[in-house]
Amino acid sequence: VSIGTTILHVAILLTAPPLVGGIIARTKAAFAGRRGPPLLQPYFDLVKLARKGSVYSRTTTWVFRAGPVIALAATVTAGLLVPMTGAPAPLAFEGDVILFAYLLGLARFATILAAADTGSSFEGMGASREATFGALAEPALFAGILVLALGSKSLCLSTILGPSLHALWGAIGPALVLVAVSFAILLLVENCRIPVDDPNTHLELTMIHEVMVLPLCRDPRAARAPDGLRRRGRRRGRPRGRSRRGRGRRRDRRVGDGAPQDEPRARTDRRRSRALDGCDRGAVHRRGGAMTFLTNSILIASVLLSVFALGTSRVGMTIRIFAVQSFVLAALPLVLRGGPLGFHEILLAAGTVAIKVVLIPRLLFRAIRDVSIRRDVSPLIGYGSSLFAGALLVVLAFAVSASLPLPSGVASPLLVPASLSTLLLGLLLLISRTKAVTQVVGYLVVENGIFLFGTSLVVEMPTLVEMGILLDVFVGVFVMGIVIFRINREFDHMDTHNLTALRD
Amino acid sequence: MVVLALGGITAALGVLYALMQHDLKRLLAYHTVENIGIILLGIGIGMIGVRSGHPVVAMLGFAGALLHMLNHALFKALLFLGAGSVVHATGTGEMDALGGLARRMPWTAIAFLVGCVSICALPPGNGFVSEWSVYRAAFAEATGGSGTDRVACLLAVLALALIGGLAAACFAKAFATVFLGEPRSARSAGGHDAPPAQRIAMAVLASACIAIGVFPHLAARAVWPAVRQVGGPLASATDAPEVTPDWWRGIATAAAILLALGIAVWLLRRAMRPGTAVGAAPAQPVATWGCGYAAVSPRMQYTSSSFATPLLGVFRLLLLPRVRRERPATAFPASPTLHTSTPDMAETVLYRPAFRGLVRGAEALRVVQRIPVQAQAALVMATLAALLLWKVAP
Repeated sequence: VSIGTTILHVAILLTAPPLVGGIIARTKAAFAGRRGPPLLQPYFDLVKLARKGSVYSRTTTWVFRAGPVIALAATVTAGLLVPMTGAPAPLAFEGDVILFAYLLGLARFATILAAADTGSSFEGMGASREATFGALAEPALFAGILVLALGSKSLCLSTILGPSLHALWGAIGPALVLVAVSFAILLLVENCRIPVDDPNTHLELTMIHEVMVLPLCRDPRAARAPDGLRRRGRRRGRPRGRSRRGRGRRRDRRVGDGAPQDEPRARTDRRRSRALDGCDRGAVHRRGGAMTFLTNSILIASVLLSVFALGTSRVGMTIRIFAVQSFVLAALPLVLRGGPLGFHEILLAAGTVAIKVVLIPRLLFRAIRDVSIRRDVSPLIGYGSSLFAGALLVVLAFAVSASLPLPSGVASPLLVPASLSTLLLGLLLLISRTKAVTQVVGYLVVENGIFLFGTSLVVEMPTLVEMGILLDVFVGVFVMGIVIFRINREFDHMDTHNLTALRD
Repeated sequence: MVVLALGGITAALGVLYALMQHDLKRLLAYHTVENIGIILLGIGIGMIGVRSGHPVVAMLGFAGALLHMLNHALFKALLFLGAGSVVHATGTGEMDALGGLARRMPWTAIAFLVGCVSICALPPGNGFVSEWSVYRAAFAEATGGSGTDRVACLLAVLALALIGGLAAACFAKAFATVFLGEPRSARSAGGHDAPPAQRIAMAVLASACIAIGVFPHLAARAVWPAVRQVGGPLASATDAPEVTPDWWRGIATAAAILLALGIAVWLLRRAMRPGTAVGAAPAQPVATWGCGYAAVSPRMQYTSSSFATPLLGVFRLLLLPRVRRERPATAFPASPTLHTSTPDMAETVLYRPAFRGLVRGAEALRVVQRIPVQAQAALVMATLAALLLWKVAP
């Protein structure tokens, strides 16, 4: 590594990060219909803060003062491991990925201790939260690193993120998409962004960010002024009511991904992140180009959507997820076909879309409107636990299908495991939920899994049989809809849990 | 691979139970369980490497295990010395009764912090060096190996990551409740620092931890001959030039940079502090901003149990905590109580039933004691005959 690139690297490392904060603030403002602060605002803030003195609580010790110092030193060292200039990073060796992760861990550790040093219960709460999220984020991070390491056969960040990354997209594109999505979620978790946390709205979390900033500012009242520091989006002057609501949602938030939230803002954010995921996938597709890539993406999407359905409590959301999943799956036979499309295939796809994407969801939406339920509030297995169980089931499906006698000519090695996973996840949904509508959706997801399994034998499976199954499902759902409606009219609720209390 | 599974489970459960402890020494003891688990992981991966003939995997795995043994000895001794000083000074190891000791026992606090950083495998501590080797061995097997070995190593990496995160949470909790904040009881307020002899002992151990963290390749070179002996079946392969203790050189550089940067930022900060725009000396030290609440007392601080509660919630199904509480019923509750404890599963599921069975069997055998001597002799003879018939006759 030449001295020139090293200097360039360090220069980028030291000057670029505040710009990201500026971009985030502007983007946020744009989505909220405002103009937002200038892009360079964080730099102005930093300069302003550097001229201020400091006030320390009498509770704090040197640990508090060392917190930001250690965090900064650790982050900069970690930055020296990441290639930025196109050339390898100044500090690159085999195994530096692990060091990278643990340096960030050190920064977190320092922050937690600094927060706890203030002796306030608010900071304690923030510290505890940071520790919890950190402990859970670590395995996720390493799972992603594992994929990258397996793909690139290297444990050096400069190699993993080097020129060979391009070839990797072609080889294991879908897996990389998953890694990208999970890293994006991790990014949201670690930076306390909206689906996981919102530093703007609740108090206790704001406090830990205050710890990050406080050592730099002199007057506590100046810190409260909204124009003072925009860094990390901290603003304390919010009414407390919101913070309480934030606490009420904490159980949901722990889930991390797909956590149900009722704030519209959170919803748009999630939608946005999904859109991001989509355009990533588009970009990847252009690069990979192969048809197998599309197939694999569909299969992965199917599994992911089932997992997503497990994680949400909103009944409407599960129905929508089912519709999207069915739509994606309806496209699968067309993609698998490859060659010119026959009348049968198009008819099949159109029929699937008409029934599973339009008709059944509409029926279900009407059902939940009639009985006016929006949430499955008391699942037999909690959302966090069922997500975890779902992950285990996916692992099981992949492990089992490795030793399953596969029919010859299966289009993709992912097909059977994906169908098994979808099936199992649907069953889990069926098992764990109490609302009849969610259970119907679970049943439908199971059917999607079976459909997927059927597609793996698409050559042998006559169209007529497929049509028959479709009709079967339709009738089944129809009957269930009627039953739900009846139960609701008789008993004024539709919690299947209470059915067991019936005696004849 | 059995060793690997055993190591993973031991380490994960060890750290989870440690996280739930209220007593400082018990917490450290459970962390010993965790670290033995990590050592087992290293040995397991090394064994896989030997079996599949991967010298890199074998050497990294065994070296990791051996280094971790050494490192564990260092930082655990340091931590126990620190905990001992705390107990000696305050008379209690109950974390929720302590607090604010960093002010009263600055030397112990620094030494304990070094121990914490090391045991959490955070750079520049020595724990990172050995865990890094185990990680790298697992990664190497995962990329180069095949079949179940590969899957096992993938899981080992995930287990290590989980353990690392939980250990960091646990020691953040321990250090924060014992040394930071305000004293939670009178005993904690009256603490005093350890006598010089103890300080020297801790200082030596702490500097050893940091030294290994900054010069890991030297430590690796020290254990190298032993590791090569363990990796005996691959002797010819381990002489290859790509198998060297220089693997650890990268960490050495990074740790040195980290320390240098830390010191530089600290000095920079110190240089910046006096020159304030207002020009005045910092005002009187003030209390922590309590969001406008005036009557803050040290008892309102976050306790170690509250700190661990979210993680306890996540792993509820695994840990089966016992919570006994009386919720405040009226507007002026008399004495709402909350008591949590996490019974050790190894104790309740494994040992206690086993010992109970043993005792019951022994009770049953008491009958034999009461019969006459002749009958006892007859029993001995019958047993002997039966054994001979069983083993020798056919």
